[in-house]
Amino acid sequence: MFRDVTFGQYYPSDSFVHKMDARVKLLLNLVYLVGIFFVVSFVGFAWITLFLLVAILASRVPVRNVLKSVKGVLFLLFFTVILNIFFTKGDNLLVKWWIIEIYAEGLIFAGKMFLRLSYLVIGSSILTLTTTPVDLTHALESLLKPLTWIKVPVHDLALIMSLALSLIPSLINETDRIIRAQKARGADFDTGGLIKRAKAFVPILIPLLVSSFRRAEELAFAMNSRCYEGATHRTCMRVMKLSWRDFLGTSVVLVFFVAVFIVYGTQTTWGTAEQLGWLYF
Amino acid sequence: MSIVAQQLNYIYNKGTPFEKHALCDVNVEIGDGEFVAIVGHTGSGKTTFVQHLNALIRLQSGQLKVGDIDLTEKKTDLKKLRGMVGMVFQYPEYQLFADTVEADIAFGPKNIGIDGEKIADIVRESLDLVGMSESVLKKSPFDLSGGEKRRVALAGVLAMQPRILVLDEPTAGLDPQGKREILSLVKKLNRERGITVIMVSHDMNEVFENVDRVIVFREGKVVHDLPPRDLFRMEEDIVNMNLEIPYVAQFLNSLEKHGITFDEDIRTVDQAFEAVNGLKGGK
Repeated sequence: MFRDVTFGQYYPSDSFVHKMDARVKLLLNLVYLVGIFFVVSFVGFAWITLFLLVAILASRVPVRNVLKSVKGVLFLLFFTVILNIFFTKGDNLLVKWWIIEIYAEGLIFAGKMFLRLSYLVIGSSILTLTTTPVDLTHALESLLKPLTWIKVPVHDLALIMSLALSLIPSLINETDRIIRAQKARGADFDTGGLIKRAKAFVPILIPLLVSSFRRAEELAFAMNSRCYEGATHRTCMRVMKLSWRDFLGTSVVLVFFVAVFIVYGTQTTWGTAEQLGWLYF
Repeated sequence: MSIVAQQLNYIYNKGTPFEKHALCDVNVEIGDGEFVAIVGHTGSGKTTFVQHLNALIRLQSGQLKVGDIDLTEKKTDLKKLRGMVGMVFQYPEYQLFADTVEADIAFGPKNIGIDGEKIADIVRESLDLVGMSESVLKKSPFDLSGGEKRRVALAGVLAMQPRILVLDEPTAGLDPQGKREILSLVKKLNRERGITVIMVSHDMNEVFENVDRVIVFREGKVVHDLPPRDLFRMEEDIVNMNLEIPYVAQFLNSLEKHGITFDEDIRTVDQAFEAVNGLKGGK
């Protein structure tokens, strides 16, 4: 039942993007996420499309895998588009039927929302497709290190995150096993009303909870018996180092988004069509 | 209840780069009331095979009949099948979930639609069968010891009154005393109630002592299907498959090399001792 669920979507390869430092990738992703909000015209989105294509090519991940990530937010996209089409008011009425009014502005706005949201997801998925969850955690820990000065337990948080990540596959296996065991006892998860189905999950959830606690306890014992004592004096097995790839990648991304900022940044981001003129379309 | 499997094939992740051929043309026939062990290295396909028996894994290709149920057909009466084939997984105690032992044992029979009034009796009977007293009925299963939990879990499967019992390493992680208890219980179910028992095991001593027939899986294929004595005579073959030779079989094999054979069916150290003693007296 859960065999097909892969957590994280890391796509193994040794491309340019894969070899970049996880910290750099994380920061560049942030730049991208902020940058994309400055883009307000379809021409701008065309440039972003080009940018994404270059990034995908450099990461050597099949485009199909990248697009798959959008599937997860399809429902959200659909909802946003529908709401924007029907509820945006403007000057150019296209359709009027009963209480439904569709304006040209609504269509344009919905289209842009669609592009913006899906590009947000696609951009981030390039990060997660090319970086293992463990590297991401390390990157986060390394980037947040300054916060230890104000007593934020960064190392502990990072450890919690990586433990949680490493437990997910075994939890999935465990769930699978328990489901099989209860099915063998005649449990039925596929028929009946909503309440009956919800109730059918009790025999899975309770053993799962019990075993998670057991696992956590065993892990704590194992760590204690190997003298784990938190962040003090710990070093990393793999030290993250910057290379020419990181400088090249950063330069490309920064140049691109500086250009984006120069073109769009001076405008009111969410301005009206008149204010933006040709930039709007 | 007999089991007939013909040309069973199963491929995991079919059509992806992760494709794995777990079963290759498996032909197995298991008769009513047999006590069979299934052995093999990890990943040899034995678990995949046994999970076919109660349709936890659906048939991909080949034919499979369990009792009068034909699993080749699209529509199978799953409730009937799962009532007929009881399956005890590895570490079954980890599947306990109910507030009380009583409710947990009743879960299976309730699911397969046994009458409410009958269930209370069945629960008591099953508990008695696994050698536990009724005083635990109202206890939480989580308050029991490891061995007790396992027996309650076993009772939960027995309460479905299966005619075929499939056990996946039933003694894993138990102490010697617990192992003996579980095995003698399984033996009793087989001998006295005529339940067909299929036991997956890694412990060859356990296999040698208890079963009538051993089916050896290797890379998805059935490579041997023999009585234990005949199987463990092939020492080289067994070692090649990363299996061990039971102590008693080793002893008998070396005696045989010196031309000493016995007519009786020797399974345990005690029986071997008796037999050797008899030999001395005779000479």
